[in-house]
Amino acid sequence: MQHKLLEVTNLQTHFKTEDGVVPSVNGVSFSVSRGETLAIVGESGCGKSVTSLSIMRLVASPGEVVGGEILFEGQDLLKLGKKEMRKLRGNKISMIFQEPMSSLNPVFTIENQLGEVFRIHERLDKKQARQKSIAMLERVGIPNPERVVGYFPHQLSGGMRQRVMIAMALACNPALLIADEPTTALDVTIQAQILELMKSLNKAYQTGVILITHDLGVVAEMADRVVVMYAGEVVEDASVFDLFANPQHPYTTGLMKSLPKMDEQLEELDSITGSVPNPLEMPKGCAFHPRCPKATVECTQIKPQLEEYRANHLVRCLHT
Amino acid sequence: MSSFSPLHHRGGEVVRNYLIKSVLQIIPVLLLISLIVFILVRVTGDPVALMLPETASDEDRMVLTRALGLDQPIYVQYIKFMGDLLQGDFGTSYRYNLPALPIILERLPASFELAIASMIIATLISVPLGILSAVKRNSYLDIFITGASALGKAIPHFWLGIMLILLFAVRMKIAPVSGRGTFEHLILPALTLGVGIAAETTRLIRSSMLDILGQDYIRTARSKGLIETLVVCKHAFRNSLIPVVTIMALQSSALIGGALISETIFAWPGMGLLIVQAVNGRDMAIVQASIFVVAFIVILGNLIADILYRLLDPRIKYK
Amino acid sequence: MTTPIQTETAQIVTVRKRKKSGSLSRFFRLLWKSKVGTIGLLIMAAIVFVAVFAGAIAPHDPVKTNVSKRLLPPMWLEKGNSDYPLGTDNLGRDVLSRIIYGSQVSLIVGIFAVMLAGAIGGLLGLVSGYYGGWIDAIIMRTVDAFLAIPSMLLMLIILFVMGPSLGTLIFTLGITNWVKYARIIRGEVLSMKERDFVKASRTVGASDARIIFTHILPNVTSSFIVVSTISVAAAIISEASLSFLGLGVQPPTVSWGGMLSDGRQYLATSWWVATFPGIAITITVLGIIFLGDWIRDVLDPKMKAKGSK
Repeated sequence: MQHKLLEVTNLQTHFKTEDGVVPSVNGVSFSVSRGETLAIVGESGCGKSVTSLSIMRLVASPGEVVGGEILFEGQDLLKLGKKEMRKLRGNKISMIFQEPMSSLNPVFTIENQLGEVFRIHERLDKKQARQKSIAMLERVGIPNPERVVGYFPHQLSGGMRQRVMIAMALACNPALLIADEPTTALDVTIQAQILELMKSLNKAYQTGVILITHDLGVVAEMADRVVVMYAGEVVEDASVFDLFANPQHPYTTGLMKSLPKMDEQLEELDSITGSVPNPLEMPKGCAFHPRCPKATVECTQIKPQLEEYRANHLVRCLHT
Repeated sequence: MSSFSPLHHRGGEVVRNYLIKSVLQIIPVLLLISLIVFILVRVTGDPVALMLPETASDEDRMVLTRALGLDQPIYVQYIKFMGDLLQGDFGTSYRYNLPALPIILERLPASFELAIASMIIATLISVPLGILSAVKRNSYLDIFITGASALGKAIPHFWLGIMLILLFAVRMKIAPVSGRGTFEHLILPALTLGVGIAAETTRLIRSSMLDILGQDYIRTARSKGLIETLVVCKHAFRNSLIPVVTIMALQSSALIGGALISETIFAWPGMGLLIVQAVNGRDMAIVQASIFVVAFIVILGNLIADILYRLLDPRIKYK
Repeated sequence: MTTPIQTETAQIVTVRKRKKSGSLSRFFRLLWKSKVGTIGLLIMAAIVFVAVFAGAIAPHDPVKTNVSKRLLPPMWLEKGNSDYPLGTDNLGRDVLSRIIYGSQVSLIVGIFAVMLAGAIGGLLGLVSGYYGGWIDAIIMRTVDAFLAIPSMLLMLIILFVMGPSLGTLIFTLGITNWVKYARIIRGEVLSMKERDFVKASRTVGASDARIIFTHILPNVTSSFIVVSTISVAAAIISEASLSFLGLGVQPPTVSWGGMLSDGRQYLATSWWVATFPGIAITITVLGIIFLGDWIRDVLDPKMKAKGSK
């Protein structure tokens, strides 16, 4: 049987704090095929970033992956040794972070930081690494790459830095690219350019992409499938068309309603009331019930499971 | 493209302007120091009593009072005091019967030798320990290093010096008790001074490394698949050098303060010993002149720290 | 500038704060949790106890000489005498009793010097930060000038001019150590001035004194306390160093630094005379450092997150 590119099953990542264990990611499962773009959406604090760092095995202490399986091309990443994992990072799996301003090391030139990827994964010498770095910068649409390659990060704008980050992530033609809110810190026109760039690279190289975002507009633009997360769990998993046409979970509906539509008169932002629950004091029953407009008595008692609503569309709600 | 800012800094003229500006900023500070010294010596105490041996007669005191112009109004005294300073006249040491400034400057090489040796020891101790402690945060090693640096801060320099003499010179007889000359002479005083500074800097390096290890670009480096050693020694350490080198250069004041003690204990013939002897021997001119020399060195140290900081951090431009 | 991870941790932290802050029990809970803080507190409690009840605890008169019993070794060594557990010095005085009495000078000098430094520095920092302008410029240049003279040198010279005694020692330590306070308090005041509640009281016409006393002072206390604990440790070491150089407390008052200075001459034959006072200083200062670290962690969670555990 042909393996999917990435299959995450029952992933659990916990943070051990002074006041108890915080289950940031609590039994998350999803999969990504080659060339597919999967979006993970949810409010900040829902565990989507921790999920992506768990795949990279870069969760920082006191966080720790405590359970589950992450199959990448059939191989469980959680069982790999440090050395094998390092060989994958930046090579077959790479990541773009939210903050282009702080994600590049301020004291090294672009050439140094971008060339590093070639030097460690392809064992190129300095000169070859420089040539490939320039080529990479050109590929992500940076003008004057011969000059830019010698710049320090602070000499570039946010958009340019994010292009450098993308160049760095795509340097070794990864099979899987994880992009954690890649455009949140950028202004709208740059955002569109970066998304366009990612899309074209995704199509050209058949890279599987996990796009982490809270922006449903970006999701509609980019994604093939969508996973909606709430309080460390997947609450809905559907194709992008199904999700927008037929959202099932009240939380998804809430997120949709808070998305302003361009062609409508903006009357009132029908946002979801309340905020993400305290991870140490999770409500009993459905985690979403205190904020849910459809909540009933049984929602406060019974914890719903992620069930098939119809083919390829999973929902975690008692009322579907 | 408008988003690119050209390489501005490192232009020769910009650097020169920066240096001129920095040197100009020193002047008001030196002026204030002269005022502090003047107030200290002329107003709070009796300079005549300070400059004469305790056995001096009343007649001697009268003569000196007039000779020093102490019978004149205070502002006239200050103007004369400043006038002498500007001509490089820091007074005459009655003990050596020579101008004070050259006597002090003569002692500088010995003090620099000790200072450099101490800084080398402090760096060799604190840089590896500080980094290790941050990388292995909350481990037993970290607790041990943090504890050792607290102990290093708590031990008084002079007692450490005495204990080193007791152990290495008196008991084991592998180092000379005091004096200057061979490499062996240098070890104990430099260790005394170096350990105290290392205790302080280990802590600072640890916290600066911890701060840097939490930065986004460290995560980026890891996500590229770099081995941890390279992440720590290249990406983190190069950044931590910015505060660390600055901290080290800023130790000049602590170094001189410590040298007063260390040189006294080990009879190291540097400026520190000279000052302590001048204070005990009531040699006013030397004491007065040494404040200026020391202040000048400290200010110079701060300037060097500032320059190093700018050299190490490409983000900073000369203003 | 926060990454998602930071946001999540920040949420965890705020959650924790909401749950626990505001109760006095939090202080003691944190103290108990921090073993280092507990050790520091125990050490300091013991030393204060010893200093206060020195007369009752000390086995001998600390200044009574007894030439027939001079330079006796500690009791566990050959020729040691259990009457003199830590031995005797060159004049036959009991080292243990002298250490017990010496704690008085260390604590008195440490506490009063820091109070003086805090009063001078706190006031100047407050004025400097609050009024700004030329007052600020003069005060800050003075700070620069003081920073350019190593405090040890400055102390030597002031004591040289004024003559050594307990009073001048406290004065000297106070006058040389105010700079730290002035800088930190000024910084706090500057940031405080921009806060809305201060701006608001100014718009409604509150007087400067009122703004300073009701809004600014309470908010700078925690940095004030943090600086003070560290300063007490520094003052105790300075006192010992100056007494060692003969410019501190004068005999017959007993001080640890002075004992060390006496013992230095007998290092080759009677190591205990110089060794035990040094251990006393180290333990005291270590206790204050431990206690200070803990106080800083409790009062300033920002610093805790950044640095020490």
